[in-house]
Amino acid sequence: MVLLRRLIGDALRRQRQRQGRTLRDVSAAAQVSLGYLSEVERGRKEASSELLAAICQALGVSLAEILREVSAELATLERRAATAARPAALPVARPARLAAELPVAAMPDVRVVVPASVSASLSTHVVAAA
Amino acid sequence: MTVDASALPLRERGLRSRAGNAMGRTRAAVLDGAGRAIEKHGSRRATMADIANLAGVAKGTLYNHFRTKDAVYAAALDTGLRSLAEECVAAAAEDLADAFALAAERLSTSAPLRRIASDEPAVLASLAAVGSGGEWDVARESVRATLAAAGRTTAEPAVDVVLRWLVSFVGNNARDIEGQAALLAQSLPPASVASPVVESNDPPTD
Repeated sequence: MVLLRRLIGDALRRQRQRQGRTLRDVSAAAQVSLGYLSEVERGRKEASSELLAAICQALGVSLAEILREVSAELATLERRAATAARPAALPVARPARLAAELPVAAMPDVRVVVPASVSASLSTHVVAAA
Repeated sequence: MTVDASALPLRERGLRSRAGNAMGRTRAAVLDGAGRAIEKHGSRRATMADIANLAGVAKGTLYNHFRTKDAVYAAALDTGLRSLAEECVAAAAEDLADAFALAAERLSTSAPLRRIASDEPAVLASLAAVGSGGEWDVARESVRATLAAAGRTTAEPAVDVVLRWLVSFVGNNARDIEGQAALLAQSLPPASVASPVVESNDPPTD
């Protein structure tokens, strides 16, 4: 299951790492305990709106920017999950029943046309055998 | 043995059986309840009934998981330690001082440990006396893994210094954990140094 808090945590961590800053640094700037920031980054704790604002401010990024990143990531994961779920959603194949349900008219009208020369030699063989 | 796959019940991928998830949830609730029971009543006065009550599970359910209060405490300590270790190893890969500060802060602010520190000095003493075997081995291994993740020495004296440093934070309202963590992290040599000389870690005098 995709969890929003995990995606938000990942985005916050990536942002912090891009800036080459430590947990101590950012937690002090955001006035959040280091342990709490770590838990938020790891997706173990749900950050409140106030806390999220404080962390974003400490990182010098807008919340919109973080949420855009989260949104893009979420869209990718949901698409992937939908694709993975599709084969499982189909009923298990039951060939016999499937064939029975196919309308007869749908079967292609196959007619073998035998060339005249082949037909002639074939009939001589048949006659000879008889 | 052959199994007819079509005869098996269809189950969404990635979902465990309900029983498996419920077991894990109950166990987590019980361990959480144990922490809250200690916080509320102290480790000695808390009863199995308190733990079940605060965990929100029936007493019978609790006894299905653990026979005694000590068994609950041991499991809570073990789970807490391993979870903290995992977090510290991840943090240490980036910054060792962060990992130290993280662990020290958790030990210092843990509600059950605070309660023990304020009301049960004898229990605190037994928790803070660095020993060997049991959970001490788990703790030592966790420190070693944390140091290794940061590319620092994992020599026994270094592990011991870190362990003793961490234990000093158990349940106490420490100040400037970050500063002390940074000093300790600085004093630990890289892994390549054969015999590390660990400097004494005096608290900053500002």
